[in-house]
Amino acid sequence: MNSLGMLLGGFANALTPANLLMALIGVLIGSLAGMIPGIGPTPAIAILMPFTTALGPVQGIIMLAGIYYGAVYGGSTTAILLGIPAELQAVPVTLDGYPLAKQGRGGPALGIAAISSFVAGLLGVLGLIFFAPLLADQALKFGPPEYFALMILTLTVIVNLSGASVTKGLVMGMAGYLVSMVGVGPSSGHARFTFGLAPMSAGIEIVSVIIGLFAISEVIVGMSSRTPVTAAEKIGSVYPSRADLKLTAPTMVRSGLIGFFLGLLPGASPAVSAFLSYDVEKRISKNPGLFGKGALQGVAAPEAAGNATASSGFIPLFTLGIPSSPPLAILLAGLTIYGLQPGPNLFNQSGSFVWAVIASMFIGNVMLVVLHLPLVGIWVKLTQIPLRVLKPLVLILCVVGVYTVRNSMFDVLVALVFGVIGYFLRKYHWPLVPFILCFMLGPLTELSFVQSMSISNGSLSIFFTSPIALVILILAVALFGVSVFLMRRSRKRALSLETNRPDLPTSIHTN
Amino acid sequence: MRSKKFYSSLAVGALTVLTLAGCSGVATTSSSTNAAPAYPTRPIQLVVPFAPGGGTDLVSRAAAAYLGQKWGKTINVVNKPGAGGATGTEAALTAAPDGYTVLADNGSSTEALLSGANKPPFTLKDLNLVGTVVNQPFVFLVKSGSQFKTMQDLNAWVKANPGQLTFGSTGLSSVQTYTVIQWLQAIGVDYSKVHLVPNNGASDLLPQIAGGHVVLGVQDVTGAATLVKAGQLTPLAVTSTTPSPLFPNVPTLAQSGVNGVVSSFWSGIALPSGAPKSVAEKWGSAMDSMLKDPAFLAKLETLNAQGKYLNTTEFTALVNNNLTTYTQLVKQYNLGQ
Repeated sequence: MNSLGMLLGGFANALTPANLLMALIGVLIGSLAGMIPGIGPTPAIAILMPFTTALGPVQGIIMLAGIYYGAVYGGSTTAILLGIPAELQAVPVTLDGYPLAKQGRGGPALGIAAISSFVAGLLGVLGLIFFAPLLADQALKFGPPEYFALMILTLTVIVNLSGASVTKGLVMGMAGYLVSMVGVGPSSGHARFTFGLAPMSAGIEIVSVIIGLFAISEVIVGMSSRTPVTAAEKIGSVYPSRADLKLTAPTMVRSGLIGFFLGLLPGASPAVSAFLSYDVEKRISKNPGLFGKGALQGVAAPEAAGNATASSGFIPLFTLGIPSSPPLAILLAGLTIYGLQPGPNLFNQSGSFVWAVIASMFIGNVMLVVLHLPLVGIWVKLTQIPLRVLKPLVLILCVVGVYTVRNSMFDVLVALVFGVIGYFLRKYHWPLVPFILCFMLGPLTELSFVQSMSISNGSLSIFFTSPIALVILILAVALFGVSVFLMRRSRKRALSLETNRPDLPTSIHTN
Repeated sequence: MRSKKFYSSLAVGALTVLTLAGCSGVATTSSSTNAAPAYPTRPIQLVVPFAPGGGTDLVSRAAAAYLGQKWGKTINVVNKPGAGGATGTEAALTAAPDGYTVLADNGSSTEALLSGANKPPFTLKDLNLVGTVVNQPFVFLVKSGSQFKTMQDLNAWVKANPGQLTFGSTGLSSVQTYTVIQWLQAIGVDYSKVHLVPNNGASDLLPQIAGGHVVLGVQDVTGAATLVKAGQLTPLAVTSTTPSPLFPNVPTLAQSGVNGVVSSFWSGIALPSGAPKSVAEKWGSAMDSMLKDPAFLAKLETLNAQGKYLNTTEFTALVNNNLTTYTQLVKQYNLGQ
């Protein structure tokens, strides 16, 4: 195939020592930015883009791609080792990554995360090369009713991530949706739940809620209980065993595919695919009880899906000029500055430059693994810091990170309040994930519903006359039913074992 | 052992306090300006009240990069979409008026809101309109390969089937909606029969048109260009009096039998009115020379934007003029919120 020859030409263009250095620097900076809560890919790329324009086009893009991949991946390091999800996408990674780290298996978790990222990234780039124009056209078939159906499907994840009680999960979900409404409504322009307070009208920042519920509450838990002196004595080898790889390989491929297809849809973020794939893995697992207590698949799934979404997002970007997420929008600006004109003819018109960009995406992914596996030795030291020192440091990191997002002390206050709320929710076993999931999806669901109603002139039939929406909705109902059924059955089993159960370590996120 | 623990807690405590103090110091540094102080001395936050990827967003990022480099301080672009721009505009205006929170202002988030809201969260008096970076027409867009080859085709179809027209817009009171209403008036179609599909901005709207979910989009030339060049959208007409240099082959509305409908999309810089005068002047003169710099103009061209600097007087006059027209429309069609 001609594409292959062009790709090799791109590699020849991209693989010079200077370019490799740029990739290395990009991945390093990106990873550091990704680890700090509240920074993440968007600001990292936005801040560094002016510097990359000083370089040549190929070097600049290679560095940007490195920053992007690094930042998307970097979040998992703090998520796994410290239980701080730096951004939404990292929330499902903490569910199993942090328990693994506590059990002294942080190394394999980090290794699996890096390998999953790599496999999924590679999948995305391959899809970009061979199927880009074809897939982009399909993605346009997703309109408001289809997105609404997709949001409903994603919301069914709540059932599975609620822990012991679906009722508690639904209550938390509703609460999350309620809190997400604070601010100015997406379609009406009316202020909602602002109580006349000026800072409230800008809405509650999602990073504040995540950091509060997951990280700050963790610090409070640490203060209130007699925990070991260090987080984990050891984190184990970062190179996963053959058994671990065999266990997670199918997960990586499945989640990579889920993430890949969701990434084609403008508006579907890596966070959505991370949650969905985690849920899928938990459903099909033979041992779903392990999820939330340290299942390697629970780390591999969101990591692979998130990164696949990040990679396949380049397909609508390149072929249609539609950025499916904020960091990609900034990358698009960067690419157009270098003279890249997105469109179906991109591959014919911009020729060798496009292939150099694609080759640089490969290089960025490889660099990520090369850099992270050996570096994990340094992250080990992080977990060996005594908890009484580490926890306050984490708190400082949280405060700074939350503040950075919008330069707002109000957001810091919100995070602290959610920290306290999160502590009590954990103490009384109310699941946090449904809250954050509905907080994220609520406004999107509302908007796509309002759009659908407007198109159909107020008729609900629009959701049933669109074949895609109908199929997704049926799937959602089926999954909901199956989950509730399975949950009932497993609870009965659990009850029968209850009598002589040793005091299991109760997981904080799900049970 | 005990003292070691004490000192480490003390150190951590001190660090926490310092960090908090550092944060709050940045937030509350007030604008007590006697002589013109050095500006900028720290990073500036440029609030874009729309989702990333749209016209204002990309132009603002280019201007932020240019001025940031010129002044040696980073200008961070922050997207705060929602409610037709109200969320972001309000956020920028409620921040400390020290010149470090700047609004990437545009017609949609200012004229639209001020004309549309019963109790607008701000008034024109709260804004110091510093200058424009871009002033350019809107384009009437439909899906490529649809039955509409010309604006006349669309006019005829809408006259026959008003109930089937769906158009995307950021809200009831937005310049896009006003332009659609003026167009419908001109061709004699009842606005109450057509359907508005609200969205969060160009990156939300354009795929919906390209995918055939929404019939018509009215988008400024910048936002429209990529998908038009990619062959996904067909431009039918522009809303300026002369064709746009970006789409020289696309006729104006007047050339397509729609008379008296002229609207433009501008984006520029505004400060909270309480911001120091010296800061506004610094921005104004920097933007004036920026729009004379061939390098920046070339950059705007790659972004498919029509650069145009209007100084604070011209800018304010344009906005006042538009506001009069739009406020009248809102009254007539009861678009107020």
